[in-house]
Amino acid sequence: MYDLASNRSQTAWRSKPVAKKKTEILVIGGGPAGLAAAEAASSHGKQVTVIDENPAFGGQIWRAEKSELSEKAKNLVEALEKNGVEMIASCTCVASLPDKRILALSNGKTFPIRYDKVIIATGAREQFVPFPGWTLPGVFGAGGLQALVKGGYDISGKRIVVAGTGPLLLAVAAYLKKKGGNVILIAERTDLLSLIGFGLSALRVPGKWREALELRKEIRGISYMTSSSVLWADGNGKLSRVTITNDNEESEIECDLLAIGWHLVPNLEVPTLFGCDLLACAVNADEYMRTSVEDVLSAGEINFVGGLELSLIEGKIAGHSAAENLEAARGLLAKRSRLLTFASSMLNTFLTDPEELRKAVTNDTIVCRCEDVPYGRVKDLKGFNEAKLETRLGMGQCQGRVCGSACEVLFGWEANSVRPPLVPLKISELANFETENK
Amino acid sequence: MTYDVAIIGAGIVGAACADRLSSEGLSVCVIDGPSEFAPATAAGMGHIVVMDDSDAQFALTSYSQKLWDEFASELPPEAEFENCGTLWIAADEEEMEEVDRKFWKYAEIGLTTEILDERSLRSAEPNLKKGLPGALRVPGDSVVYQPVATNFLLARAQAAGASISRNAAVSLVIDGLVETWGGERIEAQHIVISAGCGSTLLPELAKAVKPRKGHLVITERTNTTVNHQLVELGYLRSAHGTDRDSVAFNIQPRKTGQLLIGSSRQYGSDDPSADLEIVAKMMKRALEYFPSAADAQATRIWTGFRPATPDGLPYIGMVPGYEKVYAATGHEGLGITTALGTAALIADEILGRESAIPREPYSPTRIDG
Repeated sequence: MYDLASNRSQTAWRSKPVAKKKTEILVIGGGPAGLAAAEAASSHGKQVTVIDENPAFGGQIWRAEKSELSEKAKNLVEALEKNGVEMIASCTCVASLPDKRILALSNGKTFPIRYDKVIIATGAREQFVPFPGWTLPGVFGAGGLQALVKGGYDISGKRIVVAGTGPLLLAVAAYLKKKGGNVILIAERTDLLSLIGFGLSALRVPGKWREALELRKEIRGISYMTSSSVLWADGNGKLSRVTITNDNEESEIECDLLAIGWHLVPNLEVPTLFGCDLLACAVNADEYMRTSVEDVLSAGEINFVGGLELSLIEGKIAGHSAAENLEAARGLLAKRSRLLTFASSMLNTFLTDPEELRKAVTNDTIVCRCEDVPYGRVKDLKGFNEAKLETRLGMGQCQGRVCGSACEVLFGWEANSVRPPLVPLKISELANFETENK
Repeated sequence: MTYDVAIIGAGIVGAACADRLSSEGLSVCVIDGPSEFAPATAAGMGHIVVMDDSDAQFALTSYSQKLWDEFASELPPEAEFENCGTLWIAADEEEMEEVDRKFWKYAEIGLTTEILDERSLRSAEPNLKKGLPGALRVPGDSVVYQPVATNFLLARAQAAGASISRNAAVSLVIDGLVETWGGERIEAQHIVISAGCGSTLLPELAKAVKPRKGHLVITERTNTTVNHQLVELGYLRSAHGTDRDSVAFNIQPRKTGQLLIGSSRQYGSDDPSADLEIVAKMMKRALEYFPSAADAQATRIWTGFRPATPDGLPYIGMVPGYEKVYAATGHEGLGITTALGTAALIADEILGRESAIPREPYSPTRIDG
């Protein structure tokens, strides 16, 4: 039986061609990969525009303290502006329009931007894995808590447990400690032997072991458990204690804040809007960062969550490649390949068995917090779309950004069902589209 | 084994047929394609509405509405069945005459409606634009969250012994036999084709059933009160026209506080992407009637394809040239409303019984006429 609706993507937006704004190379996302791409592309004399949905450039990793730009990002942004790169902050891509245009949203107003080539560098976000109590106030994503503290949230004297997996935990714990938090425990899921194995492999990459040593120094005094994870969190209206398991022994720990860090997952909404092929929950780009869609490139963590250096090098390659200077890009391919190998070994070390994660979940555990959908209501359904239709999971405010990856982990569902607009738009703004384009 | 009935298509019409026929003791097999959910059913609005474009449409929609009312108590709460009624809103005095005509038309079949003047309309729906002359209130109409209702019907059919075969795209239908692209052969005495726009796998239906594209927009939860499904009377003009793209004001309150806003009708497009200009026209139209929606945040826009027929009536019944192959398709925008009535008519025809309403107006014998 043929199926009209699923034959083609619903994600592109159709309309007649009219342009408001024009650029040769449009970069979506002003984190390390996007900024590096802009730098490389503008070095070939191309007219470049960078948009970022945050008020400041730099992405998650170079996130500014109290809205001051971090030093590294600041230098890069200044250099770009000097080169004539147009930088538009607080500007979101909400839809892909025909004739090489996007619909951008800034200050509540939409406008189209026309481009010759577009580089998508929308980075990654934290993955959330539901467990009993994860929706209690006081439970945060590790990166999310760090971002809040950078924004001025006071944690001095607060008792904090950092849990989850991966090197991010150490960095976050060190940061929280520096900011006056009383970090009482780091609970790492991975067992010690795997960690040692990873540590040895890290020695092969110059600079990595020095970074690691620095971190060790900073987190001295905090207890660090391996093979340990949070079973549940509870409290009356807000978090007051967590129950953790350590080598199959359970214990309760009183705390005010819990920072949970799992893996990062690529922000695939924008590349999906453009219709880019995906592979293994990432954009399927070639070594020159070209996606399956003509004139659409992708760089950084949307291709592979591999950290800052990989993002920077991919950004540069994408910039050269978009400026049609493959020669310049070619010189960077070997370095990228080395970084990619290291990043893959890290991913394998901290890979979490979904069976393990499911164990903590009960029928009452909320999976979709926007629509209050518990695990028990969706566990027997066949896929993300069915769950959406049956329970409205993923159809709330966050549009499945949180529960989508949670469902990928818990059920192995492919949770990619992006629809425009990527962020909510006022009805009056939708109504204006016609006149704005005339 | 040979089934009594094979049903092709597990949207709400196929699901209702499966439920009805298996409850009558027939052995039923439902066959559906690779998509997770029937696209037209999933995309629809879930408005159960009596419409009087033609006497036949009036008969089928009012009969089906009664069946929904009986069915409502069996539905799970997640189906969000709500007997909120419809307000047909007049834009001017000329349309108030249409309100009057509709009132008497509905009264003819004993359907109670109420004419609201400017003041009573204002108190019924305080967020509508001021100064609208009035509306017809049809209290018997309802809304339902149709994906849940569809799954409920399928599950009940399964519990009564029906088998459901998914991921089985049908390649061929001949008398007594359904063949899938995967090479599976399903034998059945009777074959019902309820595959919406996909019903065109039967060449006889392909001539007549054409996709008619629609758009819907849903908002975040709002505090804006909407008490009824609100539809402009001009909707009838929009629904009648066949050649031009058209939009009409149509807004549905959801239990969650979200607003579901329609509607558009376009022929000749098989492109599922949202057309921003049509959406803009829809939203303009909506704001003309319902200015309070201006600041509501739209979270999602989607499209769907209604299976439309040249005369605006569905095809229900035996397809000429076949032995016991039945159509249950071409419901256009009324598939949710008329699913239960359609299933009853199909069951009656298969079992050789009289029906509660005449079946003849829906017979596919009128194709090619």
